[in-house]
Amino acid sequence: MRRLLAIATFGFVFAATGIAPAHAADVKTSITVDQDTATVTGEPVELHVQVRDAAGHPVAGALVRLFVPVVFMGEQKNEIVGEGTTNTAGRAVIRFAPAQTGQLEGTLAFWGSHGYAASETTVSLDVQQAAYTYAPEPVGLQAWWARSYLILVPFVLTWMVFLLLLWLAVRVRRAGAAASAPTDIAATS
Amino acid sequence: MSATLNYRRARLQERAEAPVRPGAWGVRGKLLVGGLAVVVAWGIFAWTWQVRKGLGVTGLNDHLSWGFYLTNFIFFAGISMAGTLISAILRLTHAEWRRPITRLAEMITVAALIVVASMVVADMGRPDRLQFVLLHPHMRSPILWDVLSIGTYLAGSILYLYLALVPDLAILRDAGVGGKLRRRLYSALSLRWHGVPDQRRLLVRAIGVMAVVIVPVAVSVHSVVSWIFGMTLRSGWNSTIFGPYFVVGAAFSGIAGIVVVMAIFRRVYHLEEYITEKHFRYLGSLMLVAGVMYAYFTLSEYATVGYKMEVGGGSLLSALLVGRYAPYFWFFAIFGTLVPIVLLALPRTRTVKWIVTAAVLVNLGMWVKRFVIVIPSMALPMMQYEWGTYRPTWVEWSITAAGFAAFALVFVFLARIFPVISVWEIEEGWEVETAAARRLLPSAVASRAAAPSVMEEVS
Amino acid sequence: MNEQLERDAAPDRTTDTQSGVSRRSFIGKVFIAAGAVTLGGKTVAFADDAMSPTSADSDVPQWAMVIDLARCDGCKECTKACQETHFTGDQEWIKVFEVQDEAGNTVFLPRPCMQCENAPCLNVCPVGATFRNENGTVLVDHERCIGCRFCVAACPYDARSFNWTEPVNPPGATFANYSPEFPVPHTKGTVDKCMFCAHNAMDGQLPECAQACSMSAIWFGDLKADIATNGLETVQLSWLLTTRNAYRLKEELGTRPRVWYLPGHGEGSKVVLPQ
Repeated sequence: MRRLLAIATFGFVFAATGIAPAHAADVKTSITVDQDTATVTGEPVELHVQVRDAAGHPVAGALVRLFVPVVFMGEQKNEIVGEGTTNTAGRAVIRFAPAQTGQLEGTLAFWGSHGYAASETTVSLDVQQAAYTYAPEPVGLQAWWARSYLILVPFVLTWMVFLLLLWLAVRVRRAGAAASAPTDIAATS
Repeated sequence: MSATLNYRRARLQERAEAPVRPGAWGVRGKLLVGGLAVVVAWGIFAWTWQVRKGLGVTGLNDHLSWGFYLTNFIFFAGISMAGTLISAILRLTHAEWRRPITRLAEMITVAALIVVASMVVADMGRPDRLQFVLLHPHMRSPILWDVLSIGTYLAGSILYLYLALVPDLAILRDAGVGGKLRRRLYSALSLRWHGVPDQRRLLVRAIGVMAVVIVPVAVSVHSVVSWIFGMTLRSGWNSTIFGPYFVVGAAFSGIAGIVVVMAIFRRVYHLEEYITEKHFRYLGSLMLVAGVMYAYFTLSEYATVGYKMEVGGGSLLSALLVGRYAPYFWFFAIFGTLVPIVLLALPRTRTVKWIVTAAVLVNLGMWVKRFVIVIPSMALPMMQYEWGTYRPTWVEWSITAAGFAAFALVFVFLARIFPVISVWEIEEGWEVETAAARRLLPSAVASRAAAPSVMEEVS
Repeated sequence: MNEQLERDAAPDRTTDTQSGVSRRSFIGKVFIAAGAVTLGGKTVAFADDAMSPTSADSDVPQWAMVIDLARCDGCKECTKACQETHFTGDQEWIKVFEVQDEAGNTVFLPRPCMQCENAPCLNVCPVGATFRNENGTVLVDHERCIGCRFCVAACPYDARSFNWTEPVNPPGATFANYSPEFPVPHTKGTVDKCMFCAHNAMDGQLPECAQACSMSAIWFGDLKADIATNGLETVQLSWLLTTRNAYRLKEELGTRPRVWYLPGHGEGSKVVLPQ
């Protein structure tokens, strides 16, 4: 079922991009991959694929894509994670840096051209450790004291000085009150 | 000799008090105040129009979103440096000649900062949300640093102006100047000042502390104003020298400001005896030094941009030097900086008249320079489109005019109720003079025993 | 210390059970690095954490966009779709420029908001009206914006628009429920910009521009899951970026934008932004 869905998707895609759709009259091809299963430990994996026609002759210049099923934006989709074009020997190397861990049922697809029919095969990948992680670097100096609110410190100190000066003004007033009090004549010179 | 001193003192007080007395301002004074008030009222009307219709009534647009308001903001912030320079720095360096002009300088600072705050509000798209800068402050924004710094500076300047006013208020109180309300005001504000040693000691200490504390605050003000621009990635603003650049610029335009204000009040209030040619020459020298430094900073700024010719820098420089903004740039460079420097440097032109002319040119030039800092970098395209255009509308012109009128009006108000020269500081200066003379010629002065202390009760 | 959250992430909205992307929204943990202090009932956000992108230890999608300049034909359907959906009037939140690349070819350059990880606009906002949600998308809260236009001055990509006059809000806009994710209706005196259609992303939909593009030139992806889709194909995002020699605009400024461009003609031929 998934294969049909995959083929239908590919058909739509390459119809949109202008590659001629495969007709029933096209030569059937087959695609094989050297390793059927792979345990990936976080290094990019290389898959060696071979595209042959029904007679066993290699197909050159075939674009092969590796798809992995994912769920994105709430929908099940097939994600292109790598592609390669076969050489004259019909071989291509597809490199894939997995981003998720787990069991992945990949699909290698050749979507036919120049009279060749599309074909595909599955490959199992057991990803132990993702090769790709998005870990954004924090911005700015990573020191506990490199914080913008520290600018408050000198200003708070300045305001404290202002309060001190207001206090001095109050004391000036009190000294004035004491001076004009008639109790101590000797105080005024 | 004490009779001479008493006469001098009486004359000084009379000169200082005269404009403060009710009815001292005649028809011309009232017309002036009326005219200024009309301009301010019109500016306020223009602002309310802008609040109702949105900032679209200005000439600003998405490709040039800061204009006259920010220019005025920097300009008046620069003028406000005068107070700190004269009152604090000259005090700390024991420059005795500062005494007759400290009060004017402090008044300039307070008046300028009030206009600075109003220019910020005028530029806001949602002035009804002004309180958000206090309720939801994000300290990593240069605007918050501005709020903090300018708020502190305003509070400090008002406090400084007040502290230095106290003995003069006592003089006014004791002379019974003014109507009932005024006398109550003077009485309350003068902190029962009677010149006793205790009070004198406290006040001198308070003013001394203030002088020290206000200097870094003033430096921070101009630095954070510059970082509104310096912390962005635009060509012309993306420069590391903006902090010191604006501080020097503020010194330059601040001194020019005090010279102009000084000249006006000297003429109108007949203070030639106290604000002498010496003051103009000394301030002229300071202006010269500041001007040369500012020219050096400007040269450094544009030379490094021009040498490297980074993306954006080349076309900005081209627009400034030979392109659409060249008239403004060269007006600033020649009439605003070069001509004043020459006028101040040549002995022939170191007279009151020419120094004041130089100061007026400097002020004009510095306003244009602030325009040249804000608008071209704003107009420079960040992506593939045409240079932004700016056609200031009546709203912006009105609010700018109102800013200048408000500055003058605040001055008028302060000069109406407080003496514009600091009587007690001048008298203190005479004391210092006499004490210095006594040390030099002890025998000759000994006969003039006990010139009464100026800080004693003066009733 | 009462950790009342100042500038929070977008409030948790959907419980979309269809979405296989788990929606663990650890709002608080993600945003408070230095801590928010409650002072007399008001919070002061010492939010230097806002300079950091979201934390690495969550599964929350980190949206990114890849624009294929080889396919863009300058039709501006993206701009129109964005304008219609968001009732922006004349503002162009995704703007299509016509530029030259290094080889001298004419290239059409759609420019949405770059959603920078080191966003100048976010850094300079005095009241935190510009903030980053859990997906790394930079949003604007119109109920907080004071209209100082510092962000407009700070953005190196000209991505922000200001509402200079009373915006025309048609009925569809006026009765919309305002949220920073769907900033409709608009308010005079505040700032607007592309927000990667955060309202669509929450429902598992592509942004309007990506949906409208007739050439399928706009890819929308998740940096965490390393997947991107343009509506037709789904690819591994890192693979797309490497094989097609993707680049970002004004990389040297250090803004770390989340919009990549695939060169239009040939490898390594970046657009030249003339100044």
